[in-house]
This record gives sequence, C-alpha cells and structure tokens, in this order.
Amino acid sequence: MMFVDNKQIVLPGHLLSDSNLKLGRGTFKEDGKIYSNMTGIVYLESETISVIPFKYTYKPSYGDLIIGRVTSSSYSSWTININSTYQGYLSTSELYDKNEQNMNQIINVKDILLLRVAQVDEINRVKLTIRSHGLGKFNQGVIVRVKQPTVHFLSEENAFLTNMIQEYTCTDMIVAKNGLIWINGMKENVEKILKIIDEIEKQPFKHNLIKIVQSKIMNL
Amino acid sequence: MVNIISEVSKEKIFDLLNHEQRIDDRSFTEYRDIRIETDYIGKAEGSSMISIGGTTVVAGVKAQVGTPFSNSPDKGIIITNTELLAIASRQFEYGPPNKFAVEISRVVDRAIREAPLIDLEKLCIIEDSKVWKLHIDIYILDFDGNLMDAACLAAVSALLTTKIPSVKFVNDELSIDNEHLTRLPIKNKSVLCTIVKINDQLIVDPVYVEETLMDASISIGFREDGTLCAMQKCGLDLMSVKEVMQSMNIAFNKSQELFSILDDIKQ
Amino acid sequence: MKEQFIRKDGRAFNSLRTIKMEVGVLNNADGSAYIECGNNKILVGVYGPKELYSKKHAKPDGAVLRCKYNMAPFSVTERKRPGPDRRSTEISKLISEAITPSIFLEKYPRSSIDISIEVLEAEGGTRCLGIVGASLALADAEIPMKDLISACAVGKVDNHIVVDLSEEEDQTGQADMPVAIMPRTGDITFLQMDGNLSVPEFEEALQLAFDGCYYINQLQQQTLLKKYGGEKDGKYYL
Repeated sequence: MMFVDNKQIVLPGHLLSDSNLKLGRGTFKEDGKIYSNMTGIVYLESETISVIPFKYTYKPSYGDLIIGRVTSSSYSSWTININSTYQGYLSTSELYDKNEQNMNQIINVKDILLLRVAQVDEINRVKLTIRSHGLGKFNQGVIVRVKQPTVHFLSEENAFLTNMIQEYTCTDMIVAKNGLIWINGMKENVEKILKIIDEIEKQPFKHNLIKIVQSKIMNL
Repeated sequence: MVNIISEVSKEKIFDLLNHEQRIDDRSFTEYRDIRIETDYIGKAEGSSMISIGGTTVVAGVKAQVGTPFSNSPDKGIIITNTELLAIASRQFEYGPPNKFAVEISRVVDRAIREAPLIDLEKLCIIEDSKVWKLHIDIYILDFDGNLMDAACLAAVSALLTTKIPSVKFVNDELSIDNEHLTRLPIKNKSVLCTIVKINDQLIVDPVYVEETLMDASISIGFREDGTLCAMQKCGLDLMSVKEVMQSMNIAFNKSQELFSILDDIKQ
Repeated sequence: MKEQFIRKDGRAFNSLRTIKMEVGVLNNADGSAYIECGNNKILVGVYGPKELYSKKHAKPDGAVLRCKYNMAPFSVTERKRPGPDRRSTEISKLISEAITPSIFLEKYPRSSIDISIEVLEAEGGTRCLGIVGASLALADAEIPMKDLISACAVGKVDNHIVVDLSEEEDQTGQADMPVAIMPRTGDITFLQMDGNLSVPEFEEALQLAFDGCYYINQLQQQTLLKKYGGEKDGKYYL
C-alpha cells in the first residue's frame, strides 16, 4: 500500500509504502516498510520509489555522466571537483597505457571534463573514467549549475526535452547528473535556453511544467 | 575557455568594475540594505541586531560593577570582544578569537573610545574602587563582507539603547537598584565606514567575494560633527595619498547616511 | 486537582511556552534553524558533510559528527566568559549523542558533519531546544535521517509535574528532566534528570515529556513544509 502520492513533499522518517518496491535514493527500509530519509519530493516510477531532494546534494553512483573540474594533478592521478561532498579521481593511466607522454599537456588544472563514474568503493572514493565514447574535455560553451530537481526533470523524467532543445535551436546540450549543464551554440540561443532552465529551476515540481517548457522551446 | 556561469569569478567582477558595475547591481558608493533591531536580547543591558545585506551581527552589552584601572581611577571601563562564529562562514573556526576578530574588536573599540561615545568619567561610582565595567560582545552570525562597519554599527546602536541600573548607598554599602534604570551618558556618536580598493577602484560595503579580491581597505571612523576618530588600513597592497584622500571623502558622505540610520533608533 | 494548578507564568501543567521555528535562516551554512521559545533564542548552523583529508580525524565507516553548544556572553544574567566551559562541553556531548541515532552517518565515510548551536539568549530549556534546532538544521541541510528528533523538558514544581520549565521553575523546582525522543518509534535518545522524583512521578513525567515531544515534532514538520512551499499535509499540487 502507498501512503503518499507521487510528487508529495515528505520529511525524514515519513512512511512512504509497505509494498515491495525497489528503493531509490532518499529512502530506507525498516521492518518491511519504506520511509523517506530526507526532505524532498516523492517520485514513483515503475516499481522504484525515491525522494528527490530540493537542493544541490549529489551522491556519485556507478555509471553517472558527470562534469568535473580538475583541481590538482599528481604523478598518478588528477583530482576532480565533481560538485559533491567527495572529490573524484581520474587515473593518469586512463589516457595512455604505455605511452610516456607528459599528461599535463593534455589535461591541466582548471580544465573542465565530461566523465563517467567508473567506481564508487565502500568508503566513497570516486573513481572516474574518460575512456568511453563522447567523453573528454570541453573546449567551448558555457556551464550552468542547477539543483537536483532540475537535473531530475531534464534527464530522468523528460529526457526528450533535451533532445528537443537541441533540435529546435541547433545547440549542443549535456545534462550531467551532478547538477551541471553544458550548453554550446549561438549566443542568443544559449541565453534563451538559460532562461528556460531558470524557469525550471524556480519551480521544478510545478504542475504542467512539461507543457510550458515544450511550448517555450517551440517558440525559440 | 569554459566558464561555470553561476560561479562568480575574478574576471567577471573585474570586468563589471571596469564598466562601473558590481555583481549585485549597486553603484560603487551604495550600501546594501541596513536593518537594525535594538533591544533584541532581553538579558543584556543593551543589545542590537544589525544586518547589512547578508552580513548579520549581534552586539550585546553587559554592565558589571568592577575596579578601575590604576592609571584611570576615575573612569569606567569598556571592553570590546568579537567572536567570528563557526556558523557564519565556512572559513571561521572554533577557538579563541583569531587576528581578524581581534582587529575588529580593537578598531571598533577605538572608534567608540576616541569619539568618545560614552562619558567614561560619569561611569565612575567611587573613585579608585568602584566603576561600571561595560562588556561589549560582538557576535558575527552570518558573513557576507564588510564586518567592520556592521560590527561598529551594532556596538554603537547597542550602547545607545543600553540601560544600566542605578546605584545607591545604604549605610555606606553599595546597592544596585535594578528597578530604576538609567541611560548611558552618551557624548558623541561615531561610525566606521570602510572603503575598499579593488582593481584600482574605490567601493564601499564590499560583499564577501569582493573582499577576497581586494587590494587594500581603509576603515575610517567619523564623529557626528565630521571629524575623524579612528582609522585603519588593512590589506597587502599600497594606497596612494590621493586614494586615501578620495576614500576619506567618500567615507565622510557615507557616514552621514549611517548617522541618519542611527538617529532613527528609538532611544 | 491537577488541572487547576496554575504556574507562576500563568501556564497550565501541560502547556509549553510560545515557540517560533524557522529554517534556512543563514546564507552560508548548508542547513540552519532559528528557534525562539519564550525568551530563549537559539541559532543552529550545519556545515557538511564535507570530506576530511586528515587520516587522524576521518573514519572509514561513517561521517564524524562534531557538535558544539555555545552560549553567548550576553545570553545570561551574569556575563558568561566566552569559550567552552564544563557545562557546555557536557551538553555538546549529550546533544551529539541525542541526534546521532537519527542520522545515516554510514552513508558518508571519511567526512564530517559540523553542528554549531549558538544560544543568543537563555531562559531555561536550551539543551532541548538545541536538539530540536539541530535536527531541523540537519533536515534543512538534506542530510539523510531516520526521523526528526524532538526534545522537551519536564520537571516537578510545587509538587506538580509540569512541562517545559522556565528559568525560574528550573532554579526553584524540585526536579528537572530533559528528554529527547525519536517520535516515529518512540525511542528515547536523550534523558537526564536532576532533582528528586518517585518512580510513579517519573513515569508520569515521562508520559508528559512524550506528549510535549510529539507536539514539538508537529511544529518541526510544519516549519519544514512551510519552507518548501507545501501545504500542511505536504501536498504540492498547484
């Protein structure tokens, strides 16, 4: 049985359900019942129940597409700020296995990279990878920081909106799980997209937001 | 170059300053909104909560009867102490006041003492043995730049509204009458106004990010009649004589604004 | 008989002072709360979780909860010297233990969560309000928790068991007993007693404390829901 509605605000310890659902983020199970563990909005999708927090909290998990900034480099790895409690590490062996090149010529401190989470171990050390199709370093464009509900709205709930924006405006856009969105295109288009993102950011749980955003994109 | 546009960067601030703009759309000589709530703490003899934009400061005055210093046996004592609370900012830590907190205490103390805000001689009860001792505790609750001006405004407005018990002698014994309260003997009001030099321009009331990029700053204490009562230059960079004079001009004009805010306090 | 007892400040045995709660009051802290109860004024700020780099302090199996209770020099009648003393050290430890069971510390290994409780004005019952505020601030910081911890003091004044002791009642009363509970399960996370009570009186007091805690829990929930724009029942539809 469900004790809450989809998109209801819940607080820590709020009873969500006693059915056999999969636990998404923001939930925990005690005595066979599912409770919320933070303040957020209930989100139920095909047998998974989760609570989406209101703020920036991002917790890395395996396979997430993220944008990060290099903060320091050492002989064996780069340290990367991934907009989370924990820093990420990118091993230098990721780029060339045996070729002894000076890695710092390829990736420097302050560079902004598109990466994937390769592994999160039991003490939350975050290993990142750049060795996959489409990953790498950004050379142009702008990045905007958004809250978790906006990421959820644009990537999980309505991923088609991102494609739609790209099609209608000939702009490249990547929504990374850690709350950063990369946009590259004509200056005026980018500015219009930023305004739309701003609107989503203000009321990410607004009723009919999809339709509002859709019509905005069509009128770009 | 890819920028995270929701982050405020050095380049962005300097670029704006070159176009006579600031990140929060203020002019160079404009203060953020200043709010004052006096008599905020009931347990203190005088208190005030000040916010200048995102900076919030509480000052509380506690009055005790104590023994005077031997070099000024006929004068009351004021002691100023500042605490940068760990809740106010990620940079602040627990522990005894650090050099920044001590500097704020001392500059505010000078602005109050040299004005002089309080007629200390009237705080003497018995020469050489009993005087009023005023503890001014300045608590920084939330930090977004310009602590010096906020701390001084808080301390001054707390002192302006302080009421101390009256003292009586019963059979040559000192007795404190908590029923009858009197105001402090106020002589001159004073304020501090801080001018910051950043990218060779002079601005007032810096926010935190502007403060991190500043070259130098100068805090100037004014009395109500426009004369100076304290001054402190901070920061690693130089200031030319011309810049100091310009700062003084700006600070004088802004101090008039601050005095009019202090005048609005119900005494 | 019991119902007719009127306390010095005009309250009945089971009524609390007026409480005002607010969350998200500080600009820089990750979570914050402000509580006024009678003349008590308490400000709580939470920073974290943040990664700890020193191997000495970090724990591989969970976050380190660091809790500081501090009283402003002007918060009490006789000026308090700034800095920690024995009383605030003990209270810091107890508050930290009172809220630890509610936090999923194991989700954040090698990190720290810092809670600062600043008492700006004290009028009896600050440790309970500190716990209530700390729990609110943690929820505001979106740190995973099992429940909001609620706390409330009970005591014995003029041979009557009463709730939420004022400063005067605390000083002149026969007993003072602050209690904190996890309202969802009804487990006690914090219990202190100072004074004299018989066992039946203790049971009565504990029951009253639970009632007070449940009431405060309601206020905590309303405060958080209000902040995020939801109505009382948490429905968010527009």
